[in-house]
Amino acid sequence: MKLMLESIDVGCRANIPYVICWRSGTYNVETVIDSWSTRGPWWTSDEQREYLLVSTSCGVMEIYHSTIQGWMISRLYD
Amino acid sequence: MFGSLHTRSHFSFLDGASSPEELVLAASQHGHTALVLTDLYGVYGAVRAERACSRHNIKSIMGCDIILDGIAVSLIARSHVGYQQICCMLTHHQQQDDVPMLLDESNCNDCIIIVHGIGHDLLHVRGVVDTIHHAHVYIGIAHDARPWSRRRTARLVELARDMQRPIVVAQDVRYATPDTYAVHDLMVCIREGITMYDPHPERTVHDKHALWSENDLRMVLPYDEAFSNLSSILVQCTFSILPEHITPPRARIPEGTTAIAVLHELCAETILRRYQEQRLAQAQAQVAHELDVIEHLELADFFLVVHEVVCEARARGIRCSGRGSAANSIVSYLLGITAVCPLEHNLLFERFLHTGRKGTPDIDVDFDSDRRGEVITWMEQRFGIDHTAMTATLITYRMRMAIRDAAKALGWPEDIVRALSKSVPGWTSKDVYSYRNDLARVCGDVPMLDLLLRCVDALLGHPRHLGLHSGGMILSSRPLSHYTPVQRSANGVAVVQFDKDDVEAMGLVKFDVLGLRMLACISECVELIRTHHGLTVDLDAIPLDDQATFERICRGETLGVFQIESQGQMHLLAKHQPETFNDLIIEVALFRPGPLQGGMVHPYIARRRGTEPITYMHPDLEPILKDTLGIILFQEQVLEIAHRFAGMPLDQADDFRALVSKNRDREMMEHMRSSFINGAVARGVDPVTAEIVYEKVSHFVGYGFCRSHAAAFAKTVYQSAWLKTHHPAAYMAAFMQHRPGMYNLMTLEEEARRCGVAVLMPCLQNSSFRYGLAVDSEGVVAIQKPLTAIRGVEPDTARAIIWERSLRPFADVNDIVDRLYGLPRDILDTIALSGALDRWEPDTRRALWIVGVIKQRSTSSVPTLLDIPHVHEDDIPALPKMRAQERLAYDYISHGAARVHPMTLYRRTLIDLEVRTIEVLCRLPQSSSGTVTTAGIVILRQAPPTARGMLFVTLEDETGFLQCAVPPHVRQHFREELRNASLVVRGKLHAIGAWRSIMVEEVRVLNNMIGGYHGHLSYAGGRDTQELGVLPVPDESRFTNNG
Repeated sequence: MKLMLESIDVGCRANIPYVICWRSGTYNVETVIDSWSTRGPWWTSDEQREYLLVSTSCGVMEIYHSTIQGWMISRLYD
Repeated sequence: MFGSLHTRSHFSFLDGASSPEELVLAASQHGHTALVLTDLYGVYGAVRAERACSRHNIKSIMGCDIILDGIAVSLIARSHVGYQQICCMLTHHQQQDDVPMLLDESNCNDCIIIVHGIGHDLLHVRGVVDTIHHAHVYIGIAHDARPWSRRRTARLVELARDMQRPIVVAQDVRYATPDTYAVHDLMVCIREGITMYDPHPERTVHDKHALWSENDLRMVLPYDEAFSNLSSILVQCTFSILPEHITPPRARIPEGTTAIAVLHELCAETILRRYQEQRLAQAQAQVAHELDVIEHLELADFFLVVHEVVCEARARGIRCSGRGSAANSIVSYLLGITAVCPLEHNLLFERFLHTGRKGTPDIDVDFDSDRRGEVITWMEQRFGIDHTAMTATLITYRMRMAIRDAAKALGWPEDIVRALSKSVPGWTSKDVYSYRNDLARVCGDVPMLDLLLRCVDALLGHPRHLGLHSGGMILSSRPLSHYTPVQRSANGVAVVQFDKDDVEAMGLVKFDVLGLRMLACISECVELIRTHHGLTVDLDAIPLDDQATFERICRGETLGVFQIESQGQMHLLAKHQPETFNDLIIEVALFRPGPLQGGMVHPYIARRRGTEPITYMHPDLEPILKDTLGIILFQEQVLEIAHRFAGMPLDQADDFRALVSKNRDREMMEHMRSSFINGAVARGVDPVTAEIVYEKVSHFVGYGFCRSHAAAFAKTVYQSAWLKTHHPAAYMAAFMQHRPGMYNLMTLEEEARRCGVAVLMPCLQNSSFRYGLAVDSEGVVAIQKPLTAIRGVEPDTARAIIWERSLRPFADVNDIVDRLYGLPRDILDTIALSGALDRWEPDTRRALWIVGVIKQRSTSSVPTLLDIPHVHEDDIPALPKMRAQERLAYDYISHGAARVHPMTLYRRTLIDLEVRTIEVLCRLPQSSSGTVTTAGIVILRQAPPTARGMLFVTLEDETGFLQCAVPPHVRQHFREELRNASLVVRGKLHAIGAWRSIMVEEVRVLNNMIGGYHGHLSYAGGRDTQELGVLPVPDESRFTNNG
């Protein structure tokens, strides 16, 4: 597993990602394995992140959509 | 069907952040077709949820959450039977010290049970499911929005299949929308007593406890079976808790007859006693009409029950008096529930009851506050403990409480939290942002202050906990646990989970058993008169035109008189000059926010005094407004105008009355406006006049009395004024005992002296448990202060003293301390300081010294075997005499009031400074309008919201009291001075009859003027330092206590 934290582009259909563009590569999302959410401390920031664990043609990726940063990849599973 | 199956509202008290109405609105926006409210251990929000659901065309289903072995379990009612089972279980649980619940077919067979296993160990979940022996147990699955949620859900589904239990979607909802997440988190911090920086398992780091749409949920919970089970549950649960009929208590009626027949019989018996021939026919017709309405509304049992309670109270010698709209009814009058004849005072029955009335009527009865508990206990015994309970009130977050809780959760230190909460008023209608500067003065203008303001704003209005209604007792023919869980309040009183509006909506009948201290005062006064003068006073038989009583009222000497003792009322009395009982009814009604804000007081007074002609906006209004001289004063008049002038049916007219009096919803007002004007025009009134009348009626805002309520209160006003006029000693003694008014003890004692009644200091030999009377050889009566008036002398201590002295009189201070050896030193010191030992040791300082020495010398806490005094005369040193100012200060400290008004000490200097006594000002003629200076101790400070920034300060000296009006600019200029306890004021004198007031121009602090600080020219010279004997203190030795 690698920590990445890089910006990515994600194509969605009905709020579900189907394609991820990362480092000039394009990867199709095969399944959504898991999803969860976090919210920053409400008294300082109000950042909200929607995490998705997706299986792609490049392997399992942990990506999230942040209300501040946009789409990011956070982890890449071997 | 789709809906949320596991929804907690803010009625879960700090475990839910949205109201049922907000939840229903959000559910409707998400396309839900049903909502199941499952508050923690309660159904508090059931009525509101059902009403909101009905507005949004959503199915409302009721349930509750309980915790079994740490796991949340929802009970959902399938029918009304299931709802009753839930209420019974919650009642049992909450009355049995929260014993764990056992769920099985025997106690909840008509409920559906859902075990919420997500986030718990599977073995644990299995264990809980195994304890529930029930056919309808589901495993609830939910998306908990934490990593690996789907995996945990899949395992839970496997467990359910293994246990052969169906699964159902039961997303855990704690608030309506994601925006409310922060409020919920704040509430969790408050509930758990942690700050927002502390981690806690109950806190979430996401906002997914809001309502979800079906599509979103299907994406994270891909289990069709769970959704179809949800739909099936929502379909099979169908019932309403809002019935079409009411559930009155069952009266005791002889076999073979009916409640209405008994009511007819009772009225027929009494009517002949109460009415003479000339009014009998009118009374009989009214009774027949009212009984028809009562029969139609099925309220005969209710009337008989209230009659029974009132009769029982009277049989026990407990004074009671009906008030409120029930006094509009001749049936209430004939049954003895109310004391005012509705025919004589032109009271409108329709304000109380009519065939179109929705919900149950209110019957409010005041009982002697000392003995109200006896009435409640009797009612519990008579109707059954399961059939009676008190109505709840919802205690919601107000400003101070919200600031305290929010600031604590934000992690601010305790002393700052306390200072912040004290910097805002206890009751306010303004929002918290209006108090930003006040709060900033405490904590500085820091960024956290803005966060605090946001938090407080979010908390305001949310329920904090359940309270007890002041008197609303519910009586039901069926056990109350069929309708509502019944829990025990902190002091052991049975209380339902609904407030008065919800109780009414559920068809339950509430009877207000209110405690009124004035009734306790009147009872005690009558008893004192009987004991000391041998007279039996029948207050219901006294003539209502006693001249001396009305003269006292017109002079404004009404301190201590029910309802008319405030300075504002005294001012109004001076202008109004009531001469008859009807005038008293109007006096009571005039001084209310409705007439005051509606500008009705001055026109009425002008018409009553003949300085303005009596006119009516339309001839049709003359019969309605004749007795109030064309001015709208009573709620009944609003109803009658809507009914008779605007042609509205009675039920609509009553709605109109309620709308203009209380609600004033803009949209509804607009609707009513067109109904009113169209109705009047249809009756032939021209549109312009209809418009003018509507405007006048719609100005009847805020709380105005109904005439019946004013009439019922006026009776007590008159009785208390009569007692004060004819038996001032007994009345003031009783008044000091019960303190039903607004003035402190010192002012009451001064008032007694102004009435010519001496007040004797507490005495260990003569004083009793309560305020009593003492009489001298010439029959002069004085008030004897009780032992319990001494600070620290609790009832138990007073009992011990009375018990000991009843063996034989105390011989001397040695004897007292010996025989009361159990009393602690500080109590004995206070007794000595109060002058209660003066009989044996007239020098208080010596008495204090002796007590101290004896207590110090006694090595053991038991009396000595040999009768040797602890202190000899030779042991006592030559102590300086106590000065008057010391004596008065000790009086004030030890029993709440000085034996002589403290202003007496300042008088010599004040005369030099040409500061006049209040009595002198009262003697100045009305024509004198020059500037005057006076001084006194502040006994009242009031700044009513209607006074536009004016402050009213009442000063008292040894000759009387006087209201000083401080205009806003003077108030601002002398802000610091006005905070002091004693003031010298200068301003223009205003005089109306016997009433005097000052429009203040300048203020000084009394101590500064006469030398209250070191270095002042007149330091110590300003106050008289004479010894006590010089002051006008009554000779107490001539009085004997014959009580």
